[in-house]
Amino acid sequence: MTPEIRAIFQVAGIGFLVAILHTILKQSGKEDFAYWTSLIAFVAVFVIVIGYVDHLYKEIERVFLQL
Amino acid sequence: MIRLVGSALVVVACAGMGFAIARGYRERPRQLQHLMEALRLLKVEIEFTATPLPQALRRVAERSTDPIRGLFAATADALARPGVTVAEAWMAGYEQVRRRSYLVPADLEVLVSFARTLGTSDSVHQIQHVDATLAQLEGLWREAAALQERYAKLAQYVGVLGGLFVVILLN
Repeated sequence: MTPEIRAIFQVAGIGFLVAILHTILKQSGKEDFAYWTSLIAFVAVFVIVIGYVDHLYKEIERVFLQL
Repeated sequence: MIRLVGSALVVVACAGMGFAIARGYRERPRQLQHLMEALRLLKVEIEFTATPLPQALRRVAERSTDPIRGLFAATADALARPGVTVAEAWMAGYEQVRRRSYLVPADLEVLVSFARTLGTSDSVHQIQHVDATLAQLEGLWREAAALQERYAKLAQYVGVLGGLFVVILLN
């Protein structure tokens, strides 16, 4: 499994788990916790994705600008 | 391989934490119910057979289950020593139950205020005090049962799912 495919599965897994957690927490009346978990998961996914986007921009720079 | 074992350990630890919290929510109403049962037995001992308090406590201890039995057994033991008032003896039992049960400070407060009234008046007033304590415990039990219904399952789910979340994040 290449690292890129791994990242896709990772993000998908986080989305899946947080969807379940959000529903369960909301059903039992802990709506503030539900929103906090969603926010934390969003930040976690963001951190993962930012690494790859950074890599992508570096690659574009290297290929087209010949720095 | 080592990665798999580590992931499994993280999931098991988080699930265990969730289950431990859920156990607290499940045990509290159960123990409150046992406590109420024991107090009803004590009331019967006082009301119908007029047993002396040390013997009555001993009999109640024999018929109740563990954390609550500790309360009554330790109280009876402390009362057997000379020069100990009933309130002091009850506080000795209370120390036992405080450390070993899942009761919260609100429940324990009721027990402390019960200590101040036990063994200070005649049987009619004793029974009234026991009834008042039972009514308070009944209210706490209702509250604890509602909390259990809402949060016991939730704690388990959040534990397991939180463990999976951490594992996915770390892989």
